[in-house]
Amino acid sequence: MSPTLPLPPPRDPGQLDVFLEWIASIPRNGRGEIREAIAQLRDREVVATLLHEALMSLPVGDPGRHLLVLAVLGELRAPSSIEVLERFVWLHDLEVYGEVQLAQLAPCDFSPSGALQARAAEMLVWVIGTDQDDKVLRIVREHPSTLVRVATIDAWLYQRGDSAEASSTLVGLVRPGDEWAVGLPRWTVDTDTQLFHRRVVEHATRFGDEVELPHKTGGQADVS
Amino acid sequence: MTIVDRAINVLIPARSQWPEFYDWAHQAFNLTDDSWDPAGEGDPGNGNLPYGKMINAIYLLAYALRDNYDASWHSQGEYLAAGMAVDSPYHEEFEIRFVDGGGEATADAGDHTDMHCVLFDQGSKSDSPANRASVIAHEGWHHWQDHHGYESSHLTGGAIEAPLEGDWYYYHGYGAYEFGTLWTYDLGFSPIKFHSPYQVAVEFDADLAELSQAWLPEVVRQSARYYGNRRLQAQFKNRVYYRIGDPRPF
Repeated sequence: MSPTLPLPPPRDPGQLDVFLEWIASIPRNGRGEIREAIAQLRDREVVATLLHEALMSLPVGDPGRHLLVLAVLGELRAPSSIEVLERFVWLHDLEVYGEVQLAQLAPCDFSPSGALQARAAEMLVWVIGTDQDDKVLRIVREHPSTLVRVATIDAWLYQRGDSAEASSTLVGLVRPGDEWAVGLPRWTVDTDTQLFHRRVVEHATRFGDEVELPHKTGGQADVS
Repeated sequence: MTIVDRAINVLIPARSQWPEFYDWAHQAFNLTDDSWDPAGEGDPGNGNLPYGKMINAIYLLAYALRDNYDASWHSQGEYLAAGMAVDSPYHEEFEIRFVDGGGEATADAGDHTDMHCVLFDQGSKSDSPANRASVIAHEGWHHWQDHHGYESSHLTGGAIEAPLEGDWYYYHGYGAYEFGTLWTYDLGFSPIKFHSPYQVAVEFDADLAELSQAWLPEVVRQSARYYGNRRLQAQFKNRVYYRIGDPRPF
């Protein structure tokens, strides 16, 4: 790769937009190119500061753009991002999404509650690595959003290679009732589907998996 | 246009270059109602308008998945057939309209689906082609429920996060559904083989995030994971014991 490719490092909000648009256009099999471009960035704190400003430009106007900002912050691993990511994780939904996006919900609806904060928690753990456990474990124990706690538990274990020892440790640290979220299998492109299935069934056996049979129109439950 | 819609919109050739796709999408999804007239029907490549945003989502349904027999939840053709508005083993013919109302969309009376403004409003919580594609499959599955005589109302309670509504997740493991059999069900099997609308949507999200074509823009993959994991946690009455994707930046 040429030293100037793919783009000059972003130095102002306009250049950051161009940089994010470039990343958005990269196909999934080009993720290595994104990582390489971020690894080669100079003046990393300047870039991090621009990303921090973009992250804290709220309420969110484009959730997809915020997802990219968070991913680049994670990949950049600037020490200054730890405080910003931690602050974002603890933001209230109203601050992140604004009142309009959280207005009264209807059938077949979506609520983004906690979703970007959960991604920020994943990136916080990615930047921290296996250090500063107090910040991460506080989220695991005290965050009001289940989604954020579950994402943080998952990221904490991922950083530790999903070892049995790490799972065993974490079970004793999560808040009571969240034990089911420790060691959830991940559906990924590299999934060993048989192992995945076995682990889902193990979780279901241990923590419960009762479902009601579907109902025929007219209110009768189907019987098997 | 959001950054995710833009990433897809630029991949789709203009109508003048690929009229076959636009004509097929128009007919297969029955976007023939007058409600699409002021919503960009005359400018179908314009990803700023609802009709063009539907085209972006349909493109994902039609082309974005990489069928992997050993790994995918279901094949691309199955999600596509569920979402298409034509008569099939999934459901009878219906039309898709652009009519505002509460929530993302509704499938009513067995003969139409209404796509609501929140799916298209610039930067709204639901404005992503990845989400729109899974909503199309979800609404198509309500028509599957109608066609096969099953209640299609959503549920509350259990692990569903109030005030949202959701469904049961009827987990099926590896090999439970051969490619081409998503439309089938079997209640005499343990665990039962059955799908709910949110389950179909999330399994599509998972396949789009992790088992999509190599050319799919990274930002679409991330968006599919975002919607899928949120719905897995908040919109099923029973707990679902998996997450989509690795917790890493890229």
